[in-house]
Amino acid sequence: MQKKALIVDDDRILRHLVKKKFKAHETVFTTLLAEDGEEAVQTLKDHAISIVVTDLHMPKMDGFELLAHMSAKYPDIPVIVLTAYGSPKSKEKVLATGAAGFMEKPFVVEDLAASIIVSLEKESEGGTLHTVSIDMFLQLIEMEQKTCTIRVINKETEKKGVLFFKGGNLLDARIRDVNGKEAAYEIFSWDSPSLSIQDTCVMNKKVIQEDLQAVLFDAMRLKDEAGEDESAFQESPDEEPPPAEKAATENQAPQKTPPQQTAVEPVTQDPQQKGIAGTGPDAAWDPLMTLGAKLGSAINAGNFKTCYVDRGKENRLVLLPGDVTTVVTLEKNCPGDVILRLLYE
Amino acid sequence: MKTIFNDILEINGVIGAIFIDKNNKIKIEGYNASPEPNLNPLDLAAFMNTIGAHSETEIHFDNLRLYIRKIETGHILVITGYNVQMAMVRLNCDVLEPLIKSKFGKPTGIGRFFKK
Repeated sequence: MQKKALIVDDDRILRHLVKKKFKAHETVFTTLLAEDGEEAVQTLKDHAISIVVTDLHMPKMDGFELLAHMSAKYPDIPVIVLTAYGSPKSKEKVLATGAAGFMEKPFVVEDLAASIIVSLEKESEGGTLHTVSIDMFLQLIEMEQKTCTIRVINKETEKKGVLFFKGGNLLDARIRDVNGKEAAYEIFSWDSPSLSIQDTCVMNKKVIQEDLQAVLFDAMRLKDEAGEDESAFQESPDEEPPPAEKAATENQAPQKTPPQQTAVEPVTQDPQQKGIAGTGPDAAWDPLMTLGAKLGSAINAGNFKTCYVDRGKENRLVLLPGDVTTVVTLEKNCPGDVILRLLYE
Repeated sequence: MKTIFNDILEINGVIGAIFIDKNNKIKIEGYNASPEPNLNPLDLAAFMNTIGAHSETEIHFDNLRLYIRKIETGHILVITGYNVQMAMVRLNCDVLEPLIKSKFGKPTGIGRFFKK
């Protein structure tokens, strides 16, 4: 998937000149244009942008406001600042607001292209993987306690998402201007995506409070319930964002069209029944339950709750204790979350 | 002998691991917790008989889980808490199987004529 660079400048001639010159690098990135910060904010919502190049002095929303918005909403997207007023003090101020680079006007367009390419290469400095099982790979990241930014591309829809990991902890996820669990659920639902790994993570705030396993299970459940309907990955609209995130939203410039959230579609099929071939009492399993309970008390394990039996080629079973053991026979392709629900609930 | 279980016992949340041979006798055991659980050999043998040929059994108790994996030479029992990566436990059991087989399996070929 081609990467996109967004050029933000109120100088129309400069914008179009840069776009024309950048056509030579179309194999690496394509160029989008915005005439001020407000238009840039909208473009960031509509497109998966990989890098932003912005002027500082612009009408409506200037470069500093755009930088503040970027560091709150899109901290992973590098920003290169262009300015005609290149004093050391302004450079210092710009870099302190999170800009990745600083270039004084007038500049050589090829130098800017080189800076963009260097920044884009960092996106995949840790390598790129194609057609991988995202859940298995992320569990490895968690086990290895890696700090990284993972860019995920859904090859079917060309949608792009970003996952932020620090010390193996999933801090946040983002798809365009949607972040948090909602974005993570959607990313985790993508089949065999491509992943690019950057060995750093600019995020410090843990927006997703649950651990990776819990988010993966929830994503699996939502995917099972919703089938191919991606709209079901949206959460209910009355969910309050975390306080820090809320503050960041309040501080940002007013947006013309705030993201609309849709409620989860009601599930028509009872998920409890999905993947279950049959349920019924079977006293033949009582000895296993009795002896298992005895063994449990010997190791101070507490009361016997449930038992999962994998019988190889035959259907797997979940046994529930009672006067007579209840046997739940699982279908061959029973989803993992149904088994977990039976075992834990 | 305990060293064979070192890797599995290093997984967070694993409390103990036991290898029981086909005669339902404990051959190797290792624990992270002390005091070590005192398993009654008769109860254990009866329980193993009921488990029979199931390739995997996982029993959930209030406080602990018991994972039982059937291997060619017997069964591996792993006692775990609830905050444990079961995929890692399964993977370690896969790794343990050939090691246990080499220690306790019947020698094949010309090896069967020699005492270990």
